[in-house]
Amino acid sequence: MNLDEILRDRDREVIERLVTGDHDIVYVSGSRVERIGNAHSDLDFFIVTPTEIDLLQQPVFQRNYYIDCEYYSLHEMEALAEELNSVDRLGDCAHISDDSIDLYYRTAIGIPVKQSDRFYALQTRFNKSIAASVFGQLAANRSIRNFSEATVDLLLGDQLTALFRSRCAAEWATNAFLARHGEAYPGTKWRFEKAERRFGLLSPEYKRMWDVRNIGDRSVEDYLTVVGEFLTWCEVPLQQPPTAEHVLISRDPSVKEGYVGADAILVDADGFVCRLGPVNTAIWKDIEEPILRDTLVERLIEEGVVHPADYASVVVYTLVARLHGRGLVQLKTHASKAQ
Amino acid sequence: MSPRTSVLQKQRELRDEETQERLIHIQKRRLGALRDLFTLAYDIEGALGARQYGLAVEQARAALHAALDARLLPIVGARMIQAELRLASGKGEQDDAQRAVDRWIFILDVWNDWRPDLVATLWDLECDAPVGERDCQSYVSRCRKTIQGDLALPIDISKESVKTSLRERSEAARMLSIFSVGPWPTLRVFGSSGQQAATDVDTYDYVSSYVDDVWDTPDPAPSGRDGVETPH
Repeated sequence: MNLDEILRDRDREVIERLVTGDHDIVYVSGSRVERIGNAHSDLDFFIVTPTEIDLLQQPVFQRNYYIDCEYYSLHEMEALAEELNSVDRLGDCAHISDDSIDLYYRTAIGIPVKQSDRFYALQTRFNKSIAASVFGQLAANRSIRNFSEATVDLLLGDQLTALFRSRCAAEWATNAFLARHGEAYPGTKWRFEKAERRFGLLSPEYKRMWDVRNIGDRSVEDYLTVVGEFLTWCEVPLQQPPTAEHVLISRDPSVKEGYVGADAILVDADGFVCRLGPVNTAIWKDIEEPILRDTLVERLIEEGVVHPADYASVVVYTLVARLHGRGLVQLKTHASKAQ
Repeated sequence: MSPRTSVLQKQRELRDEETQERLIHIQKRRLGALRDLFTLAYDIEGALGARQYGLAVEQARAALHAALDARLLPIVGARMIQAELRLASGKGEQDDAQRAVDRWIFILDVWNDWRPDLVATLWDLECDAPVGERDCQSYVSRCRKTIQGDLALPIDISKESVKTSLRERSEAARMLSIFSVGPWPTLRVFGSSGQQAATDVDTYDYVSSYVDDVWDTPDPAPSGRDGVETPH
């Protein structure tokens, strides 16, 4: 794709109005450059200056669409390339922001408007496949987190939260799946246009993604099950990655407990009261004595408390984190399994 | 003036300042929601024109959320801002699920007793999963109808005369997020009729008049329930 395919009649006139220095690199990017945009899509211009500048943004309205300009220093762009290029592909990318991935990808697909040679020299440091890898990993992590939380929310009887977390899990799994298949443009609202381009509107892949995008007439329980199966189909792992550390869980000594029917009632030192449902009460009883987290998972599976058993680790990991956040349990890590 | 009176007066002044600051914060957030609504209205039109139904449905639901935020802010603004600040200080990423949960808690708080019909309509639109081109078009129409009818906010930009106004206003509103700190500059708005002329507009006057327009539209809640919540 070249500039003439991107720019329309009066765009060049508008571009002339942009505030640029003699040595500034100017490039255009966005959904239209990615070829998934439409007549109303923004035209995004990026201006990279060799010196530090105050961030300016000067959107200009032009007939049927916007022209946006973002200004960055060369130093900022180099730091951005370094940040994403140094991410271990199997490692933690939680510290990478959505804005960073977005700018990185847009630079990787950008088309120069001014100072082409210098732009291409800069662009060699921005790699589409790295953006896809990082975005895919980040999307998978978010999908897992939302699904884990949804599972616990449903067990706690919070159907509203379970529904929205399930929906987010499905959305992020779709993004992860598409990124793995080369559709890594980070604008998540475009996911079905990317799916249509990659697989076709009538393909089973498109149909499957479309089917889980919202609850429809299903119950929350059924929807969560469908989303869980979708995550597996997308190869988004439901299990938490194994850690080298073993976590010993013990009740905080200040916590007072009582029971109303089968539900445990916990009161911490600050008077915070927490009522546990049947599953959480079962877990709470299992940590009467300090217990390793993995052992707790195994015990829950044996007791048949959590259905399906595959979710036991997800339930335990998330619930223990919540109890710990409330100061109701203490956690200690060990390099090897204590007996 | 006794020292105690002086202290009390100072405390009152500080409280007034804090209240004023929160009200400004709520108003800015509401303008942000309206800005999003107009931008989304424009996106929906583009998506339908290009037969991008996945995008159209996505943006229609987002437009409904923006309209709801704009409607709820004058009623439960302080609580919404608190919820959003709590989210912003959390995991460092957009927590769309929690935002949706918070929105629904406010919807139920405000309208469940007074407008159960509206709550049912909103829930249908929240959960609907349209299949096929006709279903998607119908979904977008229903979202627009609810935004225009029940929520009394403009979304239809199909008429040329409205289109020009909304596009320009949307752009002016969009500027607010950029210019919310520092002086208000002049915005150059290009005419949409194909003429070469551009108009220089004072953004503050432009945006202010736009806010007043929408601020004065009736609220779906019965009288006595609306109005800006005073933070304590």
